[in-house]
Amino acid sequence: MDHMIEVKNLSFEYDEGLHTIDNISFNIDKGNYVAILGHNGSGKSTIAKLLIGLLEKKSGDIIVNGYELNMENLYKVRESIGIVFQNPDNQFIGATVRDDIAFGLENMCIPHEQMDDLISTYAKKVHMEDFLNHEPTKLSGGQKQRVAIAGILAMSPSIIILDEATSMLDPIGRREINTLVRELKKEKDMTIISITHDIEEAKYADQIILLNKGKIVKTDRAKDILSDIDLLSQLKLDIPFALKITNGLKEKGISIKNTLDNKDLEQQLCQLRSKM
Amino acid sequence: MSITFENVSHVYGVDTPFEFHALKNVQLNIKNHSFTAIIGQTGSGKSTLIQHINALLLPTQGSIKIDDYLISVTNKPEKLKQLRQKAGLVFQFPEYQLFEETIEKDIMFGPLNFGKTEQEAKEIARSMIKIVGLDESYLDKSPFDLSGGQKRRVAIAGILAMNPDILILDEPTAGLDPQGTKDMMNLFKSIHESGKTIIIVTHDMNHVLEYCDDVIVMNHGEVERHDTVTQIFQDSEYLNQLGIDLPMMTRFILDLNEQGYHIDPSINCIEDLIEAIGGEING
Repeated sequence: MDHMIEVKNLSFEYDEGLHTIDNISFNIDKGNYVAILGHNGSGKSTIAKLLIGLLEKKSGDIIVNGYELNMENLYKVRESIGIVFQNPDNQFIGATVRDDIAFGLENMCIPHEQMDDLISTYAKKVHMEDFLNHEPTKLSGGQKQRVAIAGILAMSPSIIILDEATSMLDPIGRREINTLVRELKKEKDMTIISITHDIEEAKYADQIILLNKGKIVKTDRAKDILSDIDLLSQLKLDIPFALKITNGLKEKGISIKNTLDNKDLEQQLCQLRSKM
Repeated sequence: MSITFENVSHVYGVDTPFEFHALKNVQLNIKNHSFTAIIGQTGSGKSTLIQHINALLLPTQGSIKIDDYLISVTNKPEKLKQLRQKAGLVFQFPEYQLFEETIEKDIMFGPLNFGKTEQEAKEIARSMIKIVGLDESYLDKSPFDLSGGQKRRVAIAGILAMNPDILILDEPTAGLDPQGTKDMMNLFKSIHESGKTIIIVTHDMNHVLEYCDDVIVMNHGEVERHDTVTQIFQDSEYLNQLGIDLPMMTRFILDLNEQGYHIDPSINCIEDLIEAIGGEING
């Protein structure tokens, strides 16, 4: 099987006649890190909810991990996907971090003896092993999101969806989650879908799906989409910092290569200067 | 209206096992007409501090002077209502505080409360909705049918409708998309230019660099620094130690300067930066 997720001609509407998702198709390969970009109201979160069957599609097909998403396969699909939502305070069930990670495992009827091992393994993976007996309400935003991710990893899904999981966090929390996501990516088996506004983070994705008014504007390698200034400005998205600089310098007649990476830009600028 | 904190402390849950010293001996003078950022880690006392400015919280010790109003342990100002009209506080996620059937009524609520007539309040609502970048057709709609960014604009219009001299904002752009964020910050910039004092709690150092004049750094309930933006961002080691990153632009300039460039690190807009780099390369 090539694709972890296949979406064909998917449409959805909250109100009749208003296409929130308008006939979109895309594939996501196993082990890929995919960012879905687009501004508020473009349909990003709706796609996430359709993929896990929280919303029911109007038409089209969704195939996840080989299972077609329908009533019969709903739970198979949900076993394959874990989702982290935006607000860290809205997704806690357990009275302690340990209970919270255990919740999903209990639902899956994992024997108690195995559960303890799994909990400590995944708490370690998100660097929260010292907090197992803490109350979730007393944790910082970044810590809460890491616990939410541990709870998901413990159920070993093939896909993890982050629905603006860092947008309510302070910079430290944001860095914690972004670092963790890159660690998970290295382990290769996990397919990661990140719904985000953060262009500086989307740089690290393999693939970007660019969404506007419920339609896919473009899907391509992250590098290619984020280098397309015209497209990004047309959709009122941020332009990566390094690209703004190279673009401005080109207009001044300075010959410099486009880049998304600040370090690479610095190197180029230093070479230009030493030539003087 | 300048704001002066004299030795202010605030303790939550006095004489309980949860006693927590959220503010410790705060001395502070926020200048009239400044655009001041309050930064610091989660839990450092930022929100507690700003809630003292319109007397939502009273100090456990010390006093706060705003114009002729004195807020202290024993003295809850009699004219609290007027004070709250002068210092408008926009909480984090203000859209959760919308409650009326229509947007017009929601914006009118403040002015009516502060003694305006129905007619006056309606006129205020009409002009405020435009100031926040929506048109009059929104007035008859329910605030609950709007998108997140639009709701936030309406909530802010409701505060502006009271015509406060001081606008206090607690992370006003959290959760907005890049365009919504830019629009919102530019709105505050124009309100500032119309002569108001703006105090903003934020985690976004890029905003601090681009929009603010002064910075207050909170750490463990204390005001650790109060300085100009330029001064604060020169001290990257200090900020680093607090877990605060430099603005991306400042970081970049400092890195270039380490490698032989001579760019003014206080530059705060991309056009100036491109100009400066171009100038050095072209000699």
